[in-house]
Amino acid sequence: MSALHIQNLSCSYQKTPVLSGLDLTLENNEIVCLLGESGCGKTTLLRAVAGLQVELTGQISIQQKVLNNQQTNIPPELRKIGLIFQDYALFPHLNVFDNVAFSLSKRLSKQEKQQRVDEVLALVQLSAMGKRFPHQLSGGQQQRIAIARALAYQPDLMLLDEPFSNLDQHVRFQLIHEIRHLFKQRQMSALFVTHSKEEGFAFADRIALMKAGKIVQIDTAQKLYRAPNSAYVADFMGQANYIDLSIVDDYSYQSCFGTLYTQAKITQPKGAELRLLLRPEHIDITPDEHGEAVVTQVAFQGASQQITAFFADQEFLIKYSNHTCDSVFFQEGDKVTLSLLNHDFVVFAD
Amino acid sequence: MISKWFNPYKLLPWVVTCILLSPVLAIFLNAFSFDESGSFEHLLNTVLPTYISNSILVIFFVVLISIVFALPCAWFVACCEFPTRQKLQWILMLPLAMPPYIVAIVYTDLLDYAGPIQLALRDWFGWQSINDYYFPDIRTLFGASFVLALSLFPYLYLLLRGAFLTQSAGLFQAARTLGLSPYRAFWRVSIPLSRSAMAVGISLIAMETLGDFATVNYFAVHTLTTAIYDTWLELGSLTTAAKISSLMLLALVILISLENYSRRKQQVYQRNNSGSTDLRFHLTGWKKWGVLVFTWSLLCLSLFIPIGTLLYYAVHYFSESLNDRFLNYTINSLWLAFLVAILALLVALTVNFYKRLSPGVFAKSSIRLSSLGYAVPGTVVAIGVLIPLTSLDLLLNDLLIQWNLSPVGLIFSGSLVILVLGYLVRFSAIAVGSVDSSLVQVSPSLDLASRTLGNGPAKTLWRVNIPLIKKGLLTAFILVFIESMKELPAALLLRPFNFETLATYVYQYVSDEMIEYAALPALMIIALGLIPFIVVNRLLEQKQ
Repeated sequence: MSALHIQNLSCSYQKTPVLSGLDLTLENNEIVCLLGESGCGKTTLLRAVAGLQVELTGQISIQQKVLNNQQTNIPPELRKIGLIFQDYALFPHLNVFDNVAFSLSKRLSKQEKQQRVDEVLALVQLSAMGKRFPHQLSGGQQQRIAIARALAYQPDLMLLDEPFSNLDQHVRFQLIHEIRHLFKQRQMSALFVTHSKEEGFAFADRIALMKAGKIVQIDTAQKLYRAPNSAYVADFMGQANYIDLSIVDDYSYQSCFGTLYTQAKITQPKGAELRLLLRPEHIDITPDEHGEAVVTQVAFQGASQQITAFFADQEFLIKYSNHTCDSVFFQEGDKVTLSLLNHDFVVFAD
Repeated sequence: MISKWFNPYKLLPWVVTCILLSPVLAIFLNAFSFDESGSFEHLLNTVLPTYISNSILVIFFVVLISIVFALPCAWFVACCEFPTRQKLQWILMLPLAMPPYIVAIVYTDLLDYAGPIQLALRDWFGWQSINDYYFPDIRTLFGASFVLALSLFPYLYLLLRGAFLTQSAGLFQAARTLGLSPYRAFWRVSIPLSRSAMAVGISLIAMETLGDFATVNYFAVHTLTTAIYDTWLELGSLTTAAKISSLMLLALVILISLENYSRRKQQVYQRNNSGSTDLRFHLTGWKKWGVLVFTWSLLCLSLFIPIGTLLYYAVHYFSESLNDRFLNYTINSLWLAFLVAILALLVALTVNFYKRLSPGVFAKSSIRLSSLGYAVPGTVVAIGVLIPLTSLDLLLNDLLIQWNLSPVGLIFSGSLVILVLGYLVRFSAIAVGSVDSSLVQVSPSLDLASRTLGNGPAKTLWRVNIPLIKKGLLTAFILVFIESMKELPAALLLRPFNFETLATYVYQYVSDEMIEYAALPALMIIALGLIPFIVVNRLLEQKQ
């Protein structure tokens, strides 16, 4: 049984397609991040799951219960979903206790209510704040209250819309780890929208990268970084260099770095135009008076240096780690030699 | 070289403020002075308690009915989608241009025993006389409240619509995802969030109702305003009138503080206004028809039926109505309103530029104080200006007699001076506020730039500030102009002998129940109110 199953979901706004035939499955107890540039449809997808987006085609189901298809459209209040907003959406006229108790049934006794609220407030570590009003809390506290409010409702699925983007850097990652821990502890499935890959790395089990209303690739952060299925994914996940390849035989390519050998058999046809992805950390750089490459730019970053070098008619971005005592500090104009470090090749055909 | 201690730029605003403030001060001074005639005590022991309770009851009913009218309208227009919504959005403001006493006479005429509705009912059912059936009487306290609510509810409508529109749409959605149906989310989130807007609207309506003279007087409901009017015109006791006025001022202070308090709270509630408009409920079926029937029948009652009836009478009695008196009084009203609007602009410029040139607590308080008059009802303002000006007249004549010169009579209190002053006290606040809000948008660095380029304060004002706030000035002028055209109670009390304005002329016919002759001038007042209203809205929209 999956926590969320979306099939062939499409939606358009004023005749421009926002989602086009999107499929997505969330396993139980899994946190998935919807990552993408603004306007790629990720918030629309979240709203569609919450039932706030009316005009849709396709099917959405939670725990095999169909929420949305051609016949039915269950209203948001019956979907048992916790939605966390970017601006927290705490009710300004209610104090923290009443905000958290908002969804609790009138049938619960006062003690039961108190107990439920206390429990979730303790989970978000804000037990003493019940009497405060939202405007008396910091941003991070407000977001914790919003999460407590959603948890008190005991939703089947948690949806988070850019929940951390209004927070300061240092509060942000602390809160991300805390909430991830909390969700894992409560076995909560969650779908999380963000435009920041660092947040996705820190919070999610899997990341779904979206582009123009579709999911381009969905996998763990490591896989997306190491084995992207397209240049778009590669560029989105981190800095990238590309070099042209031509096929020599079934197990070797020709490139500006000489002949490159692979373990796996090359499947592309001979004569295909291919590009090899090189992350900055895949290139080694050594000072060499007779080197063919020239350093054009150096940015010192503490633990490492980011170096731009010109070689074979193109610029390369290189990450040089300063971790040993004989590390070199490069300067503009230095002559250097570039070589490739051993790694799995990612090759794109254009 | 300007002296450090005597600077005319700083003196003038305070002279203006003192003049505008004198009526309120005079009333309070009089309220605590000894009343020789003893008529206040007499009134207090006899009719005054009834008048006070009547005033409170009228306010209560007007507020209640206004909520019933305004709350659904505001919600439908702000949060639902249905045919004609866009039009309704602004048409629902227009009833504000209808003077309630004119609406009152229209409905009295229509619902009268001899009126078309009862005639039709008798025809239809075959009733013979008044004894055969029950028909509600409009000439009651409740009738007066209903009529007042018909033209005052847009205040509340405007504020609530604004509140619904600026409430973060996320809050409503959050309530939905937490398990609330739209209906329950409305009661538990939207309504509590608009409480402060509601309080502001209610206090505005309560103030207007408290100050209403013509409608309650026409329906013979005795309230505090009619009491002031009667004590002055019939008992001739200015001191007693001032004492009753001070009671009203006390009530106003309460209402104004309620309003200020609520406005402050409102700011806390509406910090994040990410109002989203694509989330309106699309109404269909009986819901759609229900909303259409509710909103448009409300407009029929408050706008179309009164205007239609007046048009009918105006057309049928056109030749009788279009006479020299009508034309003369129209001209009287026009030039009086024009004069007051120009003077109010000058007041606004003086006070505002004082604040701009020497910002500080002093300047701010001069703006605040000079704006006090607007909350004060016309009747009270009238008593307030009568007190200092009659004293001034008496003093002047005494002095003249002492110096063996011939007395000049009531040159202040018996002339147009007092009428113009009364209007200024009441309406300057509108001009001051309007100029203030457009002036704060002009960056102070522009003033500094002009000064460093060799222009003095006066030249800077003329060459930089005034051109930049032209629209604000025009808005202020139009608003004061409309209000002056409509003002009735102050005109009734302060006008010199034989001087009529369009409003007093209409009111005279209204009190004589001659709707057929009142129709044309009444339409004139409404039209003069409606046209600038639309123009001002255009101007304000362009600004945004």
